[in-house]
Amino acid sequence: MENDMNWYYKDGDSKVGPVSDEQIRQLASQGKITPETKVWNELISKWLPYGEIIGSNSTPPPKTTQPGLPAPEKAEESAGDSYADLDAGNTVHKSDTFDETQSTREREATAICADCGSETAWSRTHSTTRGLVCDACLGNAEHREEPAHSVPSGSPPRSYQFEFTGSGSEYFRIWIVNLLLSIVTFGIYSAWAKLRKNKYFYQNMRVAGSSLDYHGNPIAILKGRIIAFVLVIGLKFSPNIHIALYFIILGVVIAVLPWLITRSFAFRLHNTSWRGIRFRFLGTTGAAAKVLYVYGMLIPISFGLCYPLFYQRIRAFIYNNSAFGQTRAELNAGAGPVYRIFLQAAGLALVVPATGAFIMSFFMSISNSPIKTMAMIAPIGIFIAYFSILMISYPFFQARMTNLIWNNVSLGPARFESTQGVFRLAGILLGNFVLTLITLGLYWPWAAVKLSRYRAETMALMAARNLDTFTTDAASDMSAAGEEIADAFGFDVSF
Amino acid sequence: MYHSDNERPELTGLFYDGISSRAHPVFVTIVEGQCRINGKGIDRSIPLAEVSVSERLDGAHRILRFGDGSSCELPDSSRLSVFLNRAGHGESLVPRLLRSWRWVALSFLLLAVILSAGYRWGLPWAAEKLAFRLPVRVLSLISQQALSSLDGKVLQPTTLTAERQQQLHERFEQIKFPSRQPLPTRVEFRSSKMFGANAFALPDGTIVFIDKLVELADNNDQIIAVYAHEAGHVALRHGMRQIIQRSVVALVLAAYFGDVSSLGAALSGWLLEAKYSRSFEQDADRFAAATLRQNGLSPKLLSAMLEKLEEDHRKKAGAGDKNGNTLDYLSSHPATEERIKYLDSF
Repeated sequence: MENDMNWYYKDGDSKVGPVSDEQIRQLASQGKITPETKVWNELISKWLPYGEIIGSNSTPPPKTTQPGLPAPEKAEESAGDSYADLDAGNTVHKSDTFDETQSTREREATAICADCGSETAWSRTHSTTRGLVCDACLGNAEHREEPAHSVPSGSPPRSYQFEFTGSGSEYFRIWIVNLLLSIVTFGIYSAWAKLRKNKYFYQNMRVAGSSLDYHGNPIAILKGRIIAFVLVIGLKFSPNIHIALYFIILGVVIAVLPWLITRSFAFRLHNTSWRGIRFRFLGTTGAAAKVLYVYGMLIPISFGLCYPLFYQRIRAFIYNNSAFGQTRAELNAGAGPVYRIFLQAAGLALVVPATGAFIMSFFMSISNSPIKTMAMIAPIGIFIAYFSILMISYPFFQARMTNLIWNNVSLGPARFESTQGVFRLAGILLGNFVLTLITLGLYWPWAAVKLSRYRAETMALMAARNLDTFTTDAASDMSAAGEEIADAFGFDVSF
Repeated sequence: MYHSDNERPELTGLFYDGISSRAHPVFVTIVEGQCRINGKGIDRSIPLAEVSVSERLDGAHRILRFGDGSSCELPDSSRLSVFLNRAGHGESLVPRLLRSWRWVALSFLLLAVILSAGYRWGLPWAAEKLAFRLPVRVLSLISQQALSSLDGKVLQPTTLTAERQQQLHERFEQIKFPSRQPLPTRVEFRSSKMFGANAFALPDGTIVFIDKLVELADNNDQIIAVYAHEAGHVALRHGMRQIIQRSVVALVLAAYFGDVSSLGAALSGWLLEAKYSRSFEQDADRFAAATLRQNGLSPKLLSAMLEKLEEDHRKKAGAGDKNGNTLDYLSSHPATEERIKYLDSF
């Protein structure tokens, strides 16, 4: 029973799941899931009525193939015109669900028509720019077809939901073994551990049927870690030896910071790919120095009032210098909305302590020994204030800022849609915090996976037409020499 | 129940040429050491030895990378594994271990054993070795930096008379230490509002007496007892060992808890450190007892002094003194009954 899938279904407006193949069949036989119930699993890219997935036969297990992939009997047969336009998100599946009496050779793949949504035998579908359509829709579709590369202003963009397919128990195993090997090798293995962790989180992140991939070289990661380790140890212990030494090291760190940050982003993006195309970072050390020093200097001068501006400029530097292949990203969020979120978060951070102070003054006014009452309540008040910042203000800032940034990032013809909710995020963070604390950290892998899954659930890629048009300059980016240079000077300082 | 799937000779996948983001649907077969990619306008054979295959994960697609920048993404991970195994292209060790809960449980156990053994024996051993190898110059740099950062802020010049200081210095110089060759000790006197009756040793051999402790003692021999205890910290390099152990514990905890909560790391670091302090105190007591006996004094002098300090500590706490929470000797040197009993046993 390999390939046991996680299913989700809609009950009214709420998503339920994950449930197994077995459970979804039981639910169907109990009538809890009807052929009209929208269901989804990792292998199909959108919510579909259950009836469509399993075809006419409603009891056997729903077995789907991969999104947009034909599964005809013979490879030669399918090499014709019938390849799906993958970006249309057609869902192809076998019409016969598995039946002991039926020969596997007789199975025929079917697809969901992009126009009418009906299930059609694979051999009777046609590839169009809108995706795979059935015989019936082919004719009426012809006149609506647009010439390639001209995006009609009226056509709504397609939305591709991100999916995260990792699981807590699987990541727990990776995490424990990583920890063990890192400790017995006195930290040397931690570079390989980071590679394995990144691969886990990247390869499990999928959009439009394709997953992200991570290519980092562990030696480069190790180099970065050694540099970071030396700097951190230097900063930590130099004040104990001589104060002048501390300022020398601090000066060195500040001087090389723009270079470190630029190299680090270049490394991370260069080593990330989707559909065989790598991301790139084009920011220069000079530009990073300008943002860090000029806007950084404004913070103390303005008593911190310029911090949101600094934050926005850093984000703009990062996103405006990122590229997918040859397509450059762009951040269109100005400092205004960033300031608004900072102010609202600061306001929230003050609401609870202010309320607490009010309640405390009330108790003090009715108590006959106000000082004693204050001494009793104050520690609780401080704890509540700290906790409220952690659990209210921080999730608010995180959710709103993520939404603001991603909703204003464009990548050529594509945009993103981020819909993180403050309360959902706060709930996840609170649950993760409490469970991680009471399990002495052992819950951490589940917490990390939960957060990643929520980030994926609330993120979509919006593209006007299809996602085939991104290209890379093969000569400059993919050549072995280019990669060697990136590796020789590249490292990742982030832990 | 899906066994029939494994009989199908090909896998379905997406081929990327590495130049455009177009995903080409293809069939992939692995036969006779060759990986064959077949699709519309694509027909390639790549020796399996030149293909790098991503590791198997429960939910993730598998990615085959070919040397020229092109790659292929295969959703059916388990069937690919079957084909690869059949082609004699097995998995490497770590991914196999990662899928077995038994190995993971063993790793977990091993991790617990290594961490507790490292904390119990490994780290103290390594810190001791390192502390005795550090050049004296480093110790004195660290110590003088620490003392000068305290001076003027929490430490003020002593109020003891020059004669009293001279008298004590002469007594300290007469003390002979047992076998282990200690660093030369150097006594300094300070007054302090923040510290109560207290004395502490710095890694380079500097021992600082707070005036209140000198005033509290019934006689010079009790002061000698405290001096012998502090000289024990110096001789055994407790200061440096404490710094090393504390740093390593903090580093390991930060690595473990770092992502989670710095609060958790700080709390557990403090708890783990307390144990190290206790065993250092016991070692210094033993050193003090040996020193006192060698100089014809009774180890009971130290226990008497500890009792006196405890009484002073209790009195201040009971009186609700404004300075009730001053840092006195007992806040850093817990005078347990155990310690007093140990010293009285001589």
